[in-house]
Amino acid sequence: MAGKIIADTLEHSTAGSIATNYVVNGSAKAWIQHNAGTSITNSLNYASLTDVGTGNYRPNYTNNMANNDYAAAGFAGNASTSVCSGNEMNVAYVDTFYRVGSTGSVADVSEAQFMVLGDLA
Amino acid sequence: MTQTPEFKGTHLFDRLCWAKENLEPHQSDYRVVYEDSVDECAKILVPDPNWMACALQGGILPPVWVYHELAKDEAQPDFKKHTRGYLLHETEPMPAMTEEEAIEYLIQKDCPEAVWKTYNEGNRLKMVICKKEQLPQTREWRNSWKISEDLQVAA
Repeated sequence: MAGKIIADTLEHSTAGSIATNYVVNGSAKAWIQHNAGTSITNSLNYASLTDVGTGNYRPNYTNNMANNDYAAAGFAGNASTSVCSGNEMNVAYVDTFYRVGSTGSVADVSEAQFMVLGDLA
Repeated sequence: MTQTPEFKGTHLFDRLCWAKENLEPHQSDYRVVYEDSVDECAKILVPDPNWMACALQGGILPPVWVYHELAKDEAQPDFKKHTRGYLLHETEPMPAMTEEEAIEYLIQKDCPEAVWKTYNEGNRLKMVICKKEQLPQTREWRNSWKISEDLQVAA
């Protein structure tokens, strides 16, 4: 690697300081944008995406998570009312379901977006 | 061509961040269609373009056996947390792969072992590598998709 700065704290001249573990622990460890499971637009730390079925997509990590106790969030870019739920949090993948409309039916969405925070293996 | 730094011992996530900044994503036309349950529709594995760039570049991704070792740990009933994550970071990275070799690696990494080890046993194929153009052009009746006999293995 080109260089390394080892520091426990970052200090701004006027805005105060922040411990670097906030940065390490608070950064997304994986994110993805894809089109209804058919193609991946952009991502970080994913090797592949499994199209499991309608509205059900499974992003597979390149660098596994350390445990199953991590947090995730996602939404659909093209649906006015949408919810993304992570049904099965696994160290190697997470099953996501996209639900749209007032009935909450599982549905395919374009521009599905998903991100994960937690500890890496 | 961009030269890969010496990455053995570098955290895999750091390598992926380097690749994100330095490598052009590669959109593969290959798709892997597989069935791991008779009660469910066919699943389709889509390679990630940034991951594929890493595979083609070489010197970034760990060997696939590392993931199999981690999977053994995850299968233990008392599994709480990975204690052998160092395998991802300290194992000698894979050299550059062809796109076809990368797909084979990805199958062994992200498809169930029960599928890729016995995909051609039994009455019908459980897994097929194809081009994305061979898939249905719309997602109508997606939850009833099965591997059809005319879905040829990609060359």
